[in-house]
Amino acid sequence: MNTAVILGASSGVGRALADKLARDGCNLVLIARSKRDLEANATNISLKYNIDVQVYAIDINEKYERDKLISYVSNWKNINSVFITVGEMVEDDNGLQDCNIVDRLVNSNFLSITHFLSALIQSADKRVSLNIFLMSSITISRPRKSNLVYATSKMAIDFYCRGLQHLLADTSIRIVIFRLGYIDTAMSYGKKLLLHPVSPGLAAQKILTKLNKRRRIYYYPGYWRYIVFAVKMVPWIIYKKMGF
Amino acid sequence: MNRTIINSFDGTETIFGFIERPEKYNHLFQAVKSSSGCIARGAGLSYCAAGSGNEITSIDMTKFNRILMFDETNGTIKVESGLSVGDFISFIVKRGWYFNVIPGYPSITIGGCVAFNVHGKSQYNIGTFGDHIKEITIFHPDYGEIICSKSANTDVFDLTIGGFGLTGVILSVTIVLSRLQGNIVLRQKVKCRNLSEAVEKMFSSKNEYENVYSWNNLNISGKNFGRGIIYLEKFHQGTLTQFNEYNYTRFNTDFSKKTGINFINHFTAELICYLYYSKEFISPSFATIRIADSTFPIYGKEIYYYLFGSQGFREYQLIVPFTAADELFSGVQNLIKKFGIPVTLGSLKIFKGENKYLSFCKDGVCLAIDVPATAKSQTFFSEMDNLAMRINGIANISKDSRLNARTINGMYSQYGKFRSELLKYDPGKYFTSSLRERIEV
Repeated sequence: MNTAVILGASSGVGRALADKLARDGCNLVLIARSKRDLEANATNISLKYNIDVQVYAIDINEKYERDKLISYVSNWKNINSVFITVGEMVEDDNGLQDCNIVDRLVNSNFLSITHFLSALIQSADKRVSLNIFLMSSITISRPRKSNLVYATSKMAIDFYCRGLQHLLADTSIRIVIFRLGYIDTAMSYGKKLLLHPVSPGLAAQKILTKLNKRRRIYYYPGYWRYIVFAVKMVPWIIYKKMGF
Repeated sequence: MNRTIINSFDGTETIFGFIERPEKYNHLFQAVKSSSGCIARGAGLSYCAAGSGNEITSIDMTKFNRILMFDETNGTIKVESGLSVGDFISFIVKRGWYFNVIPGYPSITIGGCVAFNVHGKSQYNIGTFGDHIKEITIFHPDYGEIICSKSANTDVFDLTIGGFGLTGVILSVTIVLSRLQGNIVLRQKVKCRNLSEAVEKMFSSKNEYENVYSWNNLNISGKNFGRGIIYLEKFHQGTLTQFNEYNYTRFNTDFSKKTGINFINHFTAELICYLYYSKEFISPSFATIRIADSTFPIYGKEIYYYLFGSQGFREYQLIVPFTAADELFSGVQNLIKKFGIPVTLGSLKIFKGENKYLSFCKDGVCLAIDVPATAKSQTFFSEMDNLAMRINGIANISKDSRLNARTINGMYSQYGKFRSELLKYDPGKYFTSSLRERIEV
């Protein structure tokens, strides 16, 4: 039976992915910061779908805990898929905030994930296929004044994973990047958005349909590919006046 | 957090408040602690704006919708309060258990059922929601998490069941289930000439059937006032497929503001009732239906609520003692005639139980009436209040966004006690809502 690891499984897309994978009979390893939420998710899923669920309540921003997670990684067997859905955003992220907040955002959205991926890839059995799915964001399309550090760190992890795609091109490890648009999670709830957000359940369902496809980068919802292209094409003289 | 417009389900109240939708426990606790006044909100289907209030933060609990424990041997389940009754029923039915105190729409949450101590279609036989609760965990910023039951923190337990969510955020509820008696529901339809005959037939069938309720046409005057159909349902072992996954969509509570036009008048109300009666009259008296269709009869009939348009509708549901049933029926008939109100729904159930605090429960006949929300219907319902008080009846607070403190005090003997106990528990009124302000508790 397949086993999938979900990093950031306590809420949003991570939680929805756990539910959909469990429905398909996949055993799960759930990782997130909050033990209570994680255990509630694990109990709910295992009762509903009768599968094995392991939980690791770990704050990957904390070096000691991250090291603990990395030591677990090397012991995991029969892992087929790893979904990285972690992400952290703060209000008024214009790049000029307190250094501790900047450090935290960069850590959550970039550094901790690179440490995790590095350990995971090094310990992976090269004979067995492993699919790694990174949830990136459409916010990386062009720098703007809001969510600046968040977008920068998302850009960094997106760039890092594209580099890993190149590094691992001829191996059994496959890395797929999903650049997600507006998803109806705690990050977007209550915010005035240009477009209606998609439910995490629907996003998870769509992501899982791409598991066996060959492309390396996906946009979801798909129309964001065109919006991103259009935003990139806007001349600076107009772009600088845009308030989004 | 943006200020937003929230409508009561009946479309008669518009509220300017805030909505927070936490997804994790620490966010939930933080949202409650950081608000100056808040109230938990479930599916947003409260007729009377119990989950919102002006300038108040509504804590949307729909992400707390998980099953935390299930004892398959003894039929006990612990769930988070944001779990919808549709998902709840779907889970337990597949495992050979059932719970028959369920409101008629699947997206209503378990927390909402506790807060209003709701009833199902077989109240006489199995009581209200609160009768089947083993334990509740609530969160109040002054006390932290409180686990209450019939044996621990009983005062908080009693105040929470039917307490409109005013004792704190309900985190989880442990419910005692009953064994599923079949895989389909056998439904028998019996015609009745008027309301009195309906009550007689329902009373004589109550021991044989699980669910006993009726639909009645209240637009006919004279001896046929309340002509209609009695639905008698019981479980049966049949050949229909098991309970399927319920992919219901969440009801859009802003519906009344969007449709605009009110389609309900005398002609359309009578037409709707006539067509419904004819359909039920022609169709076979015996039928086997899916458990889901029996449990959630309103699902798929949402258009009914849209017909009332932007003005919304009003529902009056009351229980009067069995001995006062005839007086109620003649009184209602006279009032409908006097005010010339088009009635789109009349429905009867029979009730048994003791009235505790403000829970809608006592021995007697329960009548529900739907009318368009016009100025005339407001006066009509005020007259209904007087009638109910005269014959020792109680109106359902959860169904009526108009009932005030004076009327409730006149109907519910424990109104004063509920008010004083609630204030003793939470003198700062940390949890508040439009409903709380209106009924002055």
